[in-house]
Amino acid sequence: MEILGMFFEDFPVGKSGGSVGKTITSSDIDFFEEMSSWPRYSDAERQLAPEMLVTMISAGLMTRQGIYEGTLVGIIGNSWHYKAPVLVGDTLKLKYLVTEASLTKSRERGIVVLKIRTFNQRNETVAEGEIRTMIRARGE
Amino acid sequence: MFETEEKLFTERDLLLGILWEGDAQLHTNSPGMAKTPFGSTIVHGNSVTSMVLGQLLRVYFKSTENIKIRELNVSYHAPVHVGDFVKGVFVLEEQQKHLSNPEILRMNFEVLKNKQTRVSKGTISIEVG
Repeated sequence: MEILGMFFEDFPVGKSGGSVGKTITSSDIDFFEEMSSWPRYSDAERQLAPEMLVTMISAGLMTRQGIYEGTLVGIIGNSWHYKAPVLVGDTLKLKYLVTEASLTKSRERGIVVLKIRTFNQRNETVAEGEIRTMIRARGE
Repeated sequence: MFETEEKLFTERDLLLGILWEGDAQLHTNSPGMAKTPFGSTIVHGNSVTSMVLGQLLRVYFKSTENIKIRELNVSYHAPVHVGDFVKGVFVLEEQQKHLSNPEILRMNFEVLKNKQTRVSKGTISIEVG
C-alpha cells in the first residue's frame, strides 16, 4: 500500500490545521439524495444540504489533504453537532485540532481524535464534530 | 422500534463516499486492500450511516418538512464490503416536547450486516416542527 500520509507520531496533541474550501452545489445535494435514498430536504424555497452530506464533505476536507492517505487504518467513530443550515452556494472549510493521541497495545497503531469545526464563507460554524481515527504508527 | 429494509451494498455504493470523502486507498485500491485484514475494499462508514438514516427519514418520518438532525454519534465495529446486506434498527429513547419549542426525538440505533454482525451503533437527535 502506497504511503503518502502522516503516521501516528505526526499527530501530537495540539497539532492543528485547516482545509481548502468546497462550494455546495445543487448537484451535490441531488446526487447525495439519489445515491443515499435520502428524502428531498428543503426549507420553504431553499434547498438545504442534508446533515450527512455536511458530515461527508467535512470528512472529505480532511482526507483530501492527503494527511492520512495510506496510513489511515479506519475511522472508528465520529460525533457531530449541526449548528446552522448549509445552503447551495455556501463554501465550507474546516479547522481541526488533535485532542487525543494514544498508541494501541501493539504499538503498531494509534488512536487519534480530531476536533473539527466546519464553517461557511461568513465564518459561521455549521457543524462541530469529533472524528476518532486509527492511524498506523511509524514504530520508531 | 423501526427497522429499515435490508439493503444490498454494490460497487455503485462505493461512489457515494468517494465523491465527497475520497480516501482512495481504503475504498478503491483492491490489490492494496487484499493484503490487509479487511481483505478487500470497504464501504465508507458515513455512506452506510447515510443510507440507513435516509430510510429512517423517508419511511419513519414520511415528511422531512421542518425536520433537522441536531446531533449524531456513531462508533464503527465492523466494515461493510460490496455484497453485504445491511439494515438499521432504531429505538426511540427519549421524546421531549415543550409548548414553545420544537419536539426533540432521541433514538439509539444499530446497523447490522448479514442479519447478525454489528457494523455500527450510535445515537441521533432529531428536531421535529
